Amino acid sequence: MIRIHDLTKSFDDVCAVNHVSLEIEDGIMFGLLGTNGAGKTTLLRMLCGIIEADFGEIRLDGEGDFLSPSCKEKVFYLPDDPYYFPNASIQVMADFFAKQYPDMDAESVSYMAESLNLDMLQPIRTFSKGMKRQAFLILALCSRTKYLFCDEVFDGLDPIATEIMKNLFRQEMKARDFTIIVASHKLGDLEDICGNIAILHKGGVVTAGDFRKQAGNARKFQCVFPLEAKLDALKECPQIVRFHEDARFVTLITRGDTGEIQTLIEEQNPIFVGEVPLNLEEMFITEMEGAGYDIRKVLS
Amino acid sequence: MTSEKYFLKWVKEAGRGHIVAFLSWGTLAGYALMTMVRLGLSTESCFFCIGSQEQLWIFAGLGAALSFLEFFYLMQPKKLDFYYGLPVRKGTIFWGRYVHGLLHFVAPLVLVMTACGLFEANLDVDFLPYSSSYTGHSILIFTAVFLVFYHMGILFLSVCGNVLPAILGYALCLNYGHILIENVFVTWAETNYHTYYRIPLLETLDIVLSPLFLAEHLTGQNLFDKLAVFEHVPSALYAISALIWILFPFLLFSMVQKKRKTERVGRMFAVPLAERAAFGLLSFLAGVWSGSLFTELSGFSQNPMAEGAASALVGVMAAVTVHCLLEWGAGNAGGKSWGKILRRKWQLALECAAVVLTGLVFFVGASSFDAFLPEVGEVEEIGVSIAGLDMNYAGYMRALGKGEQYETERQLDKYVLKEEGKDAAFAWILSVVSENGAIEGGADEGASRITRVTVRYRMKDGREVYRQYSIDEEDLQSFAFVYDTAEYKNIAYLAGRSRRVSDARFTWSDGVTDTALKLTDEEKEALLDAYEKDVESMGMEELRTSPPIGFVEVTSEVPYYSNQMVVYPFFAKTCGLLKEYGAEPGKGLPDYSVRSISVVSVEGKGVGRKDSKHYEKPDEIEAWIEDAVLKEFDLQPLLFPLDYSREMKIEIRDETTNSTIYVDGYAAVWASAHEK
Repeated sequence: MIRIHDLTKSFDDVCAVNHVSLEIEDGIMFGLLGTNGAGKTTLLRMLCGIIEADFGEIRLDGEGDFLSPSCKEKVFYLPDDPYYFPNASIQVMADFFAKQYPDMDAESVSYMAESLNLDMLQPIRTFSKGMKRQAFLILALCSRTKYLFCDEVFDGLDPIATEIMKNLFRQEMKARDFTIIVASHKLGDLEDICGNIAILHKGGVVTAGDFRKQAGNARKFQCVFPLEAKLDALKECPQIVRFHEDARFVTLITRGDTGEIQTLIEEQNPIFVGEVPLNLEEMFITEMEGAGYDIRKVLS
Repeated sequence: MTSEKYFLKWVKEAGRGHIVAFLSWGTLAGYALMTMVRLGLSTESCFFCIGSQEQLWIFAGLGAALSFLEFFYLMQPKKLDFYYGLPVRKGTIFWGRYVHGLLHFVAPLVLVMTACGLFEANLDVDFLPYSSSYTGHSILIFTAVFLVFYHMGILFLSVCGNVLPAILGYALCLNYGHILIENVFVTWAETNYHTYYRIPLLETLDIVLSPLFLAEHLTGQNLFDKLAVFEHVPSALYAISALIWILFPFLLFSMVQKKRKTERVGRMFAVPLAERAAFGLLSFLAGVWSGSLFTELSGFSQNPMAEGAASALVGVMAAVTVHCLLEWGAGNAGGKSWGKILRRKWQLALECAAVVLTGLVFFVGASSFDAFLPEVGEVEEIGVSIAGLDMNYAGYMRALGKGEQYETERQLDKYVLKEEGKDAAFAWILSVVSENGAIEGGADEGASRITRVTVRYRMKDGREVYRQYSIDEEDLQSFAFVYDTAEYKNIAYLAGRSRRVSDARFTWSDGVTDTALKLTDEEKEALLDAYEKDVESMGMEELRTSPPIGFVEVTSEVPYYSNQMVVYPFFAKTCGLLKEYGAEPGKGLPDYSVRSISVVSVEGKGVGRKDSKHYEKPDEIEAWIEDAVLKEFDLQPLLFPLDYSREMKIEIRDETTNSTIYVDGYAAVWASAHEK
C-alpha cells in the first residue's frame, strides 16, 4: 500500500505538487489524471525517489525510508521517454535490469518480445516510438516489482498495441499482487482499466477515488421538448449538474433526489424522455462540478 | 547482496562503454612508448615524469577529462531519472564512478611509471641510484596533480546543472587566483605603491591559488639540471597547498552530491548555494578587475584621491552589472520577473563593499608600504641593484623597462651585502629615503631622477622584502660609500676568482684580439695579487674617467672556476704585470689597421629613424676611431655613458693572421659634438 501524506514540491515560485495526500491500495490500477503541468510526473518522480519532496511523507508498505534499495526494489518507474544505453538492445537492457531487480523474469522478456514481434538483439534506438514503449513495458512487467509507476504509458501506441498492453496489465494484476500507477492527460487511456483515479490540477488533488461508486447517485436523461416548452425553471434546479440544450433536444445530468426534476420535466410535456448510462468522462465531470470545479478549466 | 558487492557492481557499471578505460590506458600507454623512444635517444634532457612538461599536461588533462566523462551523467536529466529510479542510492552511483575513474588512472600510472623507471635504469647509470625514489615520488606527485584536476572537475559537475557553466567555471577556477593576484593586486600595488618592485607574498599566492602554476612547481617544471630533477621533492608549502586543493573540493562535492537537486539539472547551478557563491566571486572579480584596469589606464598621477574614488565607482558599477547579468543568465529575470534580478540585494551590497574595501586596502596602505624601512638588526642581508651600474646599456634599458626583472634579479642575487657593505648600504638607503624624497617623487618622476635602485632585504625571519627607489645624481655619487667597501668590490670584481691557478689558462683580450699568456703558477698568483690590490685601491668615481681597456680571461676545466677580470687603465699594477708577461694592455682601436667604419645613427631611443654612413678614407677613419669605444667595454652606462645613438661596425685588418675582424662599438659622448 502506498500512503502519501501532505506531499509538497515547489520549483522556485511554482508549486508543482501542493499538499497531496493519497492512499493507494494494493492490487489496483490507479490513474493520475490532469493537464500538462498538473503535477502528475512530479508526483511520480517523488514516489520513486528521483526528486525529493519539500514537505510531506511517502510510505511504501509502511516503510518510511522508501529511498532504501530494498524498498526501491519493489518499484519500477517507466517515464514517458525512457533512457536506454547507447546501442543497447532489449537483451542488454534486460540483463541490466536483472542485476537491479532480483525477481526479474528474463525468460518472459523473450517470450513477450516475441509475441509483440520485437527483436531482442536489435538496438532499441532503431525502434519506432511505439516499439520502444512496448519494449519498456515488457521490461517493466518482467521486472516483477510490486509497484509499477508509468508516465503517459500508452502514448505512442497504436490501438491494437494499446489493447495488448492493457491485457498484459490485467493478466499481471490477476496473477500476482501488482499495483500500477498510471499518469495520463487522456481520460480515454484510463477509462477502461482504472477504477481509482485522482485528478490533479495545479499541483493539488481535485478529487480521488472510485468514480463509478461515487457517481452512483448521478443520472443522465435525454429529453425532446416541444417548441413552446419553458425550461428556465428546469435549468435553475439545484440537482442538475449539467444542462445541455440543442434546439428541442436536452441532455441533463442530475445528482441526488431526481423526483423534483422528473416533475419539472413532465410539466413541460416532453415528446420523449429516456435515461441513459453515464460514461467515465461524464462521471468525472459530474464529480468535479459537484465539487465546485469548472471542469473545462481542469481538463481543457 | 552485501554492501561491498553491491558497491563493486556499480563500480563495474560505471565502466559501461569503456571510454574512460580507453582514454586513460591508451593515453598513458602511448605516452610511455613515446617516452621510451625519447629516452633511448637521450637521457640528459628527457624525463619520464617529474620535470616533464608533457606529462604534466597529460595528467592535468586526464584529471579534467576523466571527471567530465565519469560525472557527465549529472548533466543528463533522462539518465538521472533512469539511474535514480533504480533500486540504488544516489551516493552509490556517485562514489562508484569516483572509484572507477580513480582506478583507471592509478593502475595505468603505476604500470607506466614502473616500466619507464626500469627502462631508464637500464639505460642511464646516473639514474640508477634515483630509480626507486624518482619513480615513487613521480607516482605520488602526479597522482596529487591528477586528483587536483579530477576533484575540481567533479565539484563543478556536481554544483552545476549544465555542462557549459561547468566548463566555464572549471576554466575560471584554474585562472581565478592568477587573475586576482596578477591583474588586480599587483596592478593596484604597482599604481599605489611608489616603491613597489615585488611582493613575494603575492607571488606565492599566485602559485598556490592557481592549480596549473602549483602543478608546475610540484612537478619541477622550473628545473633543468638532471640531478636536480631526480632529487626533486616539492616544498612543504606547495605540498600542503596541493593537499588543500585536493581535500577542499572533495569535501565540498561529498556534501553537494547529497544535496544536489535533480530538478535543477539544465539550469546554471544545481545547488542554490553554489549559485550564490559563484555569483559573489564573479561579481567581486569583475569589480576589482575593472577598478584596477581603470587605475592602470588613468595612471594615478594627478589626483590620487579623486582617481581612487573613480576607480571604486567603476569597480562597483562593474560588480553590479555582472551580478545582474548573471542573475539574468540564470533565468531569474525576463518576462514579468525583472524585479528578481535584484533579489539578492544584501549579497550585491556585500560584493560592492568587498570591491571598495579591497581597493581601499591598497590605497590606504600605500603610505606605510612606501615608508617601510626595517631595523638594521632585523636584516640578515641586503641585495642592491642600481639600473645602469655594472651592466651594459642594453641591460640598463631593460632594467628601466616596466615589469622587467631579469637584469635586476641577476644583480640582486649577485650584490648581496652581509657585512660592512650591508651597514653602508643601509645608511645609504636611509639617506635616499629620508633626504631626497624618493618616495614622494615616485619611481620615474622628476627630471633630476636619473635611475632606479632596487633593494632586497632578506630578514632574519626568512622573509624577503623588496623596495625600489628613484635616485638622482647626488644619490648616485653618494653610492660610492657602498661601492668602495671591500665587500661590494669583492663581489663586483673578485667573485668567483679561484686560487686554484695551476690548471687555469690566462688570456688577455683587448676586445679585438686575444693573447694567450704563458704564465707560471707564481706569475699567475702575482697577477691575481696585483689585480686584487688595484681593485682594493680603486674608487667608484674613477670609473667615470675611462672605459675598460681589456679583460683577463681565466678559464679552467674545473666547473665554476672560470672568471673574467675587467682591467681599467688605472689598474697600474695589473697593467704593469700584463706588459711584463707579453700582453699589450695599452693597445687600443687606433693601434689596429682599421679599413672601414660604418656608423648607424638612430634618432630617438632605438625606435627612431636610422641613418647609416660608411667611412673608408683614412682621415675619416682616424677621426672616428679616436672616439670609438668597443661595445664589450660598455659596462658603466651611468658613470661612463657613451653616445648610444651612434653604433659603429668597425672592420679591422689583422696583419698577424691575415684576416678581417669586425667589432661593434659606440661613439664616446664627446664624439657627438663633431659631426663628420
